[in-house]
Amino acid sequence: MHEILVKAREEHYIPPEKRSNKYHGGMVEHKSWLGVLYTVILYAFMAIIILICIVPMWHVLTSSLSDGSILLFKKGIVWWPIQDSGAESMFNWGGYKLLFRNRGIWSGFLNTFIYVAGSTTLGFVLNVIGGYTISRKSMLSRPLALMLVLTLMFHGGLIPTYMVIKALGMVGTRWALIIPGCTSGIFMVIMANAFRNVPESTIEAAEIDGAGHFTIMFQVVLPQSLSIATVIILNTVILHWNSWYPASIYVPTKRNLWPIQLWIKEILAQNQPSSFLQAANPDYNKYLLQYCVILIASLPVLLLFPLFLKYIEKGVIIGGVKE
Amino acid sequence: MAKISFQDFSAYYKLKKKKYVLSLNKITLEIPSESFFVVVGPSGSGKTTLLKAILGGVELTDGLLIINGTSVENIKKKEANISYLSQEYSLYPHMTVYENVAFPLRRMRTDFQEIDLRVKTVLDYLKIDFLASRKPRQLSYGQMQRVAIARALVKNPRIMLFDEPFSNLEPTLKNELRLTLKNIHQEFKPTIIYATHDLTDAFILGEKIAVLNGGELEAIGTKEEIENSDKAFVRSFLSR
Repeated sequence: MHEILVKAREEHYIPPEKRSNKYHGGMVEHKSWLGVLYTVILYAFMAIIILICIVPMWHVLTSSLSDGSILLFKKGIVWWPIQDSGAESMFNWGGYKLLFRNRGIWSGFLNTFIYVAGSTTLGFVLNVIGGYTISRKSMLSRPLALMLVLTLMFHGGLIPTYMVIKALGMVGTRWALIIPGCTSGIFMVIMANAFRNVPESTIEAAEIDGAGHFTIMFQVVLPQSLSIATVIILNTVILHWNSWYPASIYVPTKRNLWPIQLWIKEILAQNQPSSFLQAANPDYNKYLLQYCVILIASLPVLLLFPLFLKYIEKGVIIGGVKE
Repeated sequence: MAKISFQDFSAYYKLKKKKYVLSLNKITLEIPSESFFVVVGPSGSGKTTLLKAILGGVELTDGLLIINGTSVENIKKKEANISYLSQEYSLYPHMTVYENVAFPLRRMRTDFQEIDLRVKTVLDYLKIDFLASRKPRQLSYGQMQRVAIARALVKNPRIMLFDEPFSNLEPTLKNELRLTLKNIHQEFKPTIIYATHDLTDAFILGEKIAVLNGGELEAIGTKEEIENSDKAFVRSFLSR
């Protein structure tokens, strides 16, 4: 028996200097033509989806750097910034200059930052506390979960909500844009599901180690559900970054409290020229400004995405894969 | 350290709402202070319930369970100073080995320098000081179990409960850890209660052994006394 093994070893042993350094992807070294076709189709499909996402953004970017008067008559996608034949530079920064000269844009940005930071922080704390409460086995957890699910299907509607917020004295203040929309029942339910994936024995161990509910919540359970928490945070950030409707209801006349999106809405959607646009005379600048303002408003969220990509990928597949 | 006594103690396990199953039936048992006590029995015999009862984690009980003169209901979890270790290790996956071991001390609001000193001493004692900066997923099962023992030991507990801690490990490692436990017991003198279904564990480690069957106490005594027991269940359990 031993001799057979020795012989087999001699026959099949590959000395280190002869071993290939290239990994062939397991046992299969060559793909079949069907495999190649599949890969090609997959890549082509992905390329189309990527193009569908990128082309509009590229169009907005190039348009914002074009000459407003020529842009007004240009039809189709602007692949490269278009300038007047006598222009000195390839890019026209006029739209941006005009935009940043406006105080409303700056205060809009500042307000949006305040609303996003406030809502996200408050919402996150509430999501964690609410999620933890539902995830634990207690008398209250089931009725509470039921109530949260009910809020997803039924809510008071705009006017009753407005009346409540008015009765609380929040109309016309920043709080009306921070507190009411900071969380949602679905976020708490998602958080609770993530917390339920933490093994019960870990929580028991923490209890024996002397940890109370808050320590278990923030130091044991939450760090093990960070990917889901990050996804929820990012969703809240995007939701509040893009939100203009609550501001148009709760602070319609207080322009100093307007978020950036309400300014954009005013610039883009209102037919009558605002004082801001009148300043941006001549008229074609109005057209150019739309692109500048869209780009400026979406840039921070776009920059945020790659930073959280790792967590988002993890968060999306979580629940499907049991580690 | 800590003497534990069960007097006519029954415990019920919650199956679902308003439905309980009797898990321990009128147990009367004395666990001497600083002893190494092994509870042995087949699955479902009530070993884990007995340990959980000492932790105060059983909802419905009957009879008396007294730890050092105080009934278990009157002992607050934070003040109990009991360690519990199961086969699941239950390490915190997001913390390093050092942070895992330091966790109970931080909850006790121990001084920062004291924490550092005690954690390093324990890690050194269990020969896992080189693992201090690793996360649990970077450890082998044996190393994980050592970290779990370190975490249990670091708060200098008066009672240590072990619930089949080595059942997942290979024999060589098991022997090594048994020896570690023996040394810990000799050096730090906690009251150790060790639940297992493995007779080898029971005979090697136990100063005193209790045999449980279906929630009832079948026999109690030293290794020799158990071996010479004339109870039918004990004889059949020994001859497995």
